[in-house]
Amino acid sequence: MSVISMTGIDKSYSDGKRRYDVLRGLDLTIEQGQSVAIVGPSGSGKTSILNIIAGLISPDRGTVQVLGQDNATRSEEGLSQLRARGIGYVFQAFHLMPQLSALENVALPMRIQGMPSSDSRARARSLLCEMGLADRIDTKPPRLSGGEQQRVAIARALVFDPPIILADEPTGSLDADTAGDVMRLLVSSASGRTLLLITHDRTIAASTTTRYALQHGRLTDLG
Amino acid sequence: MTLKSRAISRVTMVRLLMAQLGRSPLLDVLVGAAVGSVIGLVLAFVVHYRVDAFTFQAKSDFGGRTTIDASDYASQSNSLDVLQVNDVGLQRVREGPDGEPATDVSRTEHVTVMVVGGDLSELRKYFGENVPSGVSTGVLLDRQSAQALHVGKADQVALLLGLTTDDEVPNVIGTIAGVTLPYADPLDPIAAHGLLILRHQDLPAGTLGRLTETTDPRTQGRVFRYFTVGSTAPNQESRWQLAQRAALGGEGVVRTVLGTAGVAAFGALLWLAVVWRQVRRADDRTAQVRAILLATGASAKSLRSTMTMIHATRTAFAAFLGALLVNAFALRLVLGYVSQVAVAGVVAAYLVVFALPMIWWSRVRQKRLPQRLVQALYTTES
Repeated sequence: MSVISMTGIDKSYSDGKRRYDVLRGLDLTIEQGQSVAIVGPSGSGKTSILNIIAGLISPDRGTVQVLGQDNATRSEEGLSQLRARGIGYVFQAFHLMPQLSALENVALPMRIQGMPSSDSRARARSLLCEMGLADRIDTKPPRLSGGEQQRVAIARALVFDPPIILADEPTGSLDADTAGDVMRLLVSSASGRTLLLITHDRTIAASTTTRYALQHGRLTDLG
Repeated sequence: MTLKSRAISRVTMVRLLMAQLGRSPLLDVLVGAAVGSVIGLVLAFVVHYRVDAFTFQAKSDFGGRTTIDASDYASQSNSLDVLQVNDVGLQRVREGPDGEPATDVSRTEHVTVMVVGGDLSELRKYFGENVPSGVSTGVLLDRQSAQALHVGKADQVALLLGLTTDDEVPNVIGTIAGVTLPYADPLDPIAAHGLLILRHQDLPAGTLGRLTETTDPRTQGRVFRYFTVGSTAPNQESRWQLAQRAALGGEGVVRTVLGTAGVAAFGALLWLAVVWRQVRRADDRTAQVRAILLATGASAKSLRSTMTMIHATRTAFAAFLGALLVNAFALRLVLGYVSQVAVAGVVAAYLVVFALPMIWWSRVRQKRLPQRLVQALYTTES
């Protein structure tokens, strides 16, 4: 059963002077539990694929089905719920709130969904312990290393136990050793879930079972 | 989502967004209040002066004596002293239940008061036999009689005559048909020989000149401008009727309306620019946080309404503070008999109303340009 299905996706951007076609008739199908990497150079449109799946942006053309429903038929609130409970998003830049502790950062999506503080903190604490950050729970992001910050971000992505993990260059800001650790953690955390990883690094992509290259707006199977 | 969940969600969003904004909301409130109060004060001044111009159609220095040329009104000119006395007015007096006069200051009518020197009998040449001769005697003339006295379309002309140079001018020199006329000339209290009260816009060209021409050339006529509170004359128009009629004609009225509208429009543009800048800056500063919240499952609609709430609250505070400043600085002397509280309220409402387009614009922009918000996820700023 496909969890993500993209068919005939076109997406272009314009800077006012020029139009950039980044996705041209892109097709992508990802089954449940599959881990997929998309490799491509900067500006090739990799991130657009994730944003389209998450409903953060709309394609110019084509259909996107996530968890069995066409994103175009989801309401604004429906897309929010998809991002809240259906998708865990991990960014290259971590995007943690600097004024919040690691615990509060992980608890944030739950608080946004209106969960009581005690429940959300308990869940966040448990996840941070799983990530090996039990002793860094009350530390704020600026005092955490890059690897630690990314582990907090992964914990945040997992709070609602989402069936899909979207990871956008999750190791792009880390050194090689830390990147390896983080990738192992990400892949193990995504076990049983669908993982879609975007990277320009083919060694990182090797952590996944299926790999595509994004070229000229289309995907090429790398095996 | 339950009410409690919504509250938790909204509070979390507000907390994060406000943390991102730092001190800028406070600064925005202070700057907004300063700009808003300046706009409000300028508006109040302009309205005040334009309304005065409407009343008298002649520029006079506030609170002092100036001389205007009677050729404004007559071909044969005489120099007229003009004294603006704002704190002395004609008050409407209603007969109370006990038969005693009860002052009602709820209505104001602008009239021109001329104090004319010279032999009162001369006035009869112009005003005919309707001019009474007794000391402290007055009449209130209706429209017909006023027209008979060559004062055009005046609805009422109050003549209070009979004071001589030797008479001491009391604060209240008489009552005419229920109108009490508090009077005081702080500069020359015994210079009054006669007192003619009529709405200035009803004063036909030449009347003033003819009046002063007939008086003793050594004695100058004095024109006092009062704020009055109407009269109980049966043909008294309502204030609204007066405003309507006034709005239909008169150069001064046109200037008043144009001047006020011009300043109001300019102030609105300035205020819109200030609010636009503040809204845009706040939107930009919170873009990344909002993008993160959006990506982690926050409702886009809730985010928009939270930002709208922040913008609206901040602007409302600025407007309220601006109105308070206007209230504090808009002295009664400046604003005449218009309630300072009313002026402050109008200023606050004006500022709030003209902030709404920018707040709405922010909301529309957030909704229509989600791409811009998503881009904030890929900026290096944290």
